[in-house]
Amino acid sequence: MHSEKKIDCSVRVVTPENIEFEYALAGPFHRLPAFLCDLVIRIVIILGIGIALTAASPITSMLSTAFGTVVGLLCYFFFSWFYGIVFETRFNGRTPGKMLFQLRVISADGRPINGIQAALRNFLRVVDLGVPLSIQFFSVDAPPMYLIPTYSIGFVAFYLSPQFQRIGDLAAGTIVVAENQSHKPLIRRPDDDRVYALIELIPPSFAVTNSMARTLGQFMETRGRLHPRRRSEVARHLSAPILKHLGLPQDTGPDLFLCALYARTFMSQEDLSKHWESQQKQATQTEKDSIPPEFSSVAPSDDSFGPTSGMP
Amino acid sequence: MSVGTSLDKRRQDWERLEVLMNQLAKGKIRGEPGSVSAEISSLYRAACADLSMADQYRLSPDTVAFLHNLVGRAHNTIYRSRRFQYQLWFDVAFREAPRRIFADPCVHLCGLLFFGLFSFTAVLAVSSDIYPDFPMQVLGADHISQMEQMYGDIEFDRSIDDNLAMVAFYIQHNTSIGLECFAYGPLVIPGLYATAYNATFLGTTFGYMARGDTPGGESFLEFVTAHGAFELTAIALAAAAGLRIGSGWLITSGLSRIASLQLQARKALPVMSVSAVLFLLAAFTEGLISPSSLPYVFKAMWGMFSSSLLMYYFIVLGYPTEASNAA
Repeated sequence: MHSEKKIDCSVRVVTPENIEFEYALAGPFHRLPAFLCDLVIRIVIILGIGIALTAASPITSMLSTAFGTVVGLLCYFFFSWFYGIVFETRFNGRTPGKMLFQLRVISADGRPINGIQAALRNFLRVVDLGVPLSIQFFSVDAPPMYLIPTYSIGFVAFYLSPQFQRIGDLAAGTIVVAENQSHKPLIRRPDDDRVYALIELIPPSFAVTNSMARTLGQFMETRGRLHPRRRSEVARHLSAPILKHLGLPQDTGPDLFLCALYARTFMSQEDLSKHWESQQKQATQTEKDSIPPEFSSVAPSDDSFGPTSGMP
Repeated sequence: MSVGTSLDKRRQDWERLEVLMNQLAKGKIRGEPGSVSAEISSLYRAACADLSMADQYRLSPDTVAFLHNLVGRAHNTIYRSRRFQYQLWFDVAFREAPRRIFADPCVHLCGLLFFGLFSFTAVLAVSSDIYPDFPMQVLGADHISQMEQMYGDIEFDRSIDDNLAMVAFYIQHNTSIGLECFAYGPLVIPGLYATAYNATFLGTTFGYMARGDTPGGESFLEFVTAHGAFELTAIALAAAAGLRIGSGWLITSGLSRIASLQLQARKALPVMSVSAVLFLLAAFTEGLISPSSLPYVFKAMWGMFSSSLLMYYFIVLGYPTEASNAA
């Protein structure tokens, strides 16, 4: 079960509407930039306040010599401990760094996090930041108290937990998910016009099953990234049995055939007839120009389209 | 009906949902929030239905991935984290937290370990007759001379800014002790070791500086009087919070290790928060009162005040009442 989750790095959530959907889990190297970004923001804010206080010291020192110290200490304390808690509670599980890298903290059961969870996971960051490395490791004379956090405990926890949780996440029961805005789904219209001719040859009684439809969709999505030869190699596994079943010639181009099946399943009727008409027109035109309608000349590829497609 | 026709129809709804969510995220919707949230929720339910029917609708994997993402984002838009509830947090801070700390065996253990070793080593170090070499063996000659020099240099009649570097050093130093005790706590043994080590170190330092003939001893005592109560309690509590989390995965009492860890971490949260507040109070005292030129009486009064405040919080507020026992 766990290994299954880890392989596709996603977590399933059941909503109150009783719908199950998936989140993509964010791995350590997706979260590290967000963490560094937050760190830089905090440092810049604290430095900015420090500079402002120093600049204002002639005025504030009239009130009290300790004014700057007090405000500086307060700010440092607040920003180092409550930055993550406040942002994650107020902005629904996102700090500025997480907003930038499109991450979000949610409860492991898919619900939004509450203040207590935000507090726990941010307080326990101290644990994840260990084991600290002393600066004395690099320079013997350095004072003993300055330590470099290595995040090593957090990393170990990341890899041991099936849902990429550090100790703070484990204790608070939270996960970090990626919310990239994915591209819009499209019907991929085959660019080869021969497809529409081929569709006419498939008997209307042939019904594509749901799992085959899914396979066709997947094939169309990957197809663009493959070499033509590889395409037909992949497509042959599915096309050959179907061609045999339908009694179509075995030398029909496998890639082309799957494209036709896809278009037949996924494209709307108007869309198909529009393409069909335009192709008809082209065909009559080419006949007028007395050029033999040889499909292989349209797009030179390794696919041989076969004699039956030599219609209309 | 082919997939393409229905998909084109549905896609308009999905795009509308996306637009609305983006507007909501940017805070652009001000006019009619009611109607917008109603529209979002109905679009969200429709998208949920689309996703659950993905197989019947013959949606391609690409589309399904898109829908998962869309539904996830809409889910997060609709079921938002709740706002801060002040009354609830007041209750937690002044009713629940002290009682829980009072009854927490980890706090007892760490308090006993820290203050016990602290007092024990302080007694050993303070008498120059029984074990005259004890501080030297624990602290080392370097540290002792460094400390003597440091506190010998304090002049309380100077302005705070002149002592600032030293104060900053000590705040940093003490906070890192607390963090160390806390951060090793979940590993249990290292946490107990860190607590014991720091208790010994601090106890010996206090005892040695209180010998009377130590150079800088008097200024040390004047310096630590005001903030000592806050500081030492904060360290003990930090260690206890760490240990409680560590006990989670060690003593599971029938739960799975992760569930037990989560439960104990939730229980440790009040201890952690109180400890953080005490560190803050200690830092302020340390930054403002301890190095100042205020008369010693005032600092001593502040020390007593802070001790009674702690006693009030932990004992008066924390003492189990019948109501809390019943709960």
